[in-house]
Amino acid sequence: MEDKDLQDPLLMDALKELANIGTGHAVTALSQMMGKFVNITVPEVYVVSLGKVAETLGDAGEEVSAAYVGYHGELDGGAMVVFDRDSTSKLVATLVGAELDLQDPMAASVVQEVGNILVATFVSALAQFFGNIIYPEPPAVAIDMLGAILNVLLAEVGQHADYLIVAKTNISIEDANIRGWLIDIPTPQSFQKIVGKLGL
Amino acid sequence: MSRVVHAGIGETVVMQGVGQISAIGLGSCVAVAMYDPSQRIGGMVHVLLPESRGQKTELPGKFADTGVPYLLDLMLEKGAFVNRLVVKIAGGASLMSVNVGSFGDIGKRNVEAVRTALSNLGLMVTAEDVGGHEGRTFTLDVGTGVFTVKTVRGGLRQI
Repeated sequence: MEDKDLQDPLLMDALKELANIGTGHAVTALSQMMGKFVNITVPEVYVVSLGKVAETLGDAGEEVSAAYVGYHGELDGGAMVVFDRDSTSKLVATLVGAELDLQDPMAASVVQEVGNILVATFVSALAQFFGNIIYPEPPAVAIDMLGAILNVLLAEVGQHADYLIVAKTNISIEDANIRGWLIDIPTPQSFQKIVGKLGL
Repeated sequence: MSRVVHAGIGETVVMQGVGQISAIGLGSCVAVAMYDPSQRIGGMVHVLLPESRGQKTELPGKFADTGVPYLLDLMLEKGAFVNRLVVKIAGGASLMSVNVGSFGDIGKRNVEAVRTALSNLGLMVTAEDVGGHEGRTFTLDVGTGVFTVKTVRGGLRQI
């Protein structure tokens, strides 16, 4: 599959719309959990080569926290929510009520909790949109280099594709100075198939 | 400052004389680096998956079974001598809290596939920094022949 096949504006719009629906549901869940207002941006959609995904999204060597949910069915792919180091500390402090080291198991469990809610809600919104033909995997979390964490997702979706279509939505909780983003990367093959079927 | 070239996923980089080649944020991926000290030619490939299974790709470096021979070809084309090559590998970690994906422990399988591909070419691994649960940045300085691995928690070490 080539780059130009994915540059189709119809495909890009469809993914943007999906990301919008998914993120909308996800941040509503986060907002309820935090008791705070959560902002989201309009999703950006990129078509990038496998080798450039990490640098398109950020600094591959930067320490971040992330939660990941892979999904299968009529649509295959993965969704991931990522918070930078500072935002992770603030997120943990807001929810636990104390400053914790990121290596503290408690910090990981907070990331897990928040990440699970965000990505699981995101994927279930996709499933709902498509009529429950998408099955999510159990969520997984990690606190490490961005590039290293992305490996998990890219190994899944990059198996049969050199170019990927990536939707990214920024999330922020302004009054707590917390910033993160949510990405969705379906396998290009399954995404083209499903968009064709829906007649979007 | 010397030039740093990044080997992204599936990418293969070969250079000579001065500069650094770096694979940033290796998780389950494995980077294979080769160096000929006599010519100061260095190369690196950033492998994502073990086997190509005959798949067509613009990125031969994506798979261990195609990427390792591809890197060797580029090294030899540049003028490196196969019997002088120093080969070091890094990566193949398992990062996530649960084993996700359809591959099982993909990091471990990548390391095994890289070792097999190297031994098929008659190449020995001189040093490695593989497995575990941490992401790595692997850098080869082509001017000095120094290989380093950096992690978030463990700092910088030479391998």
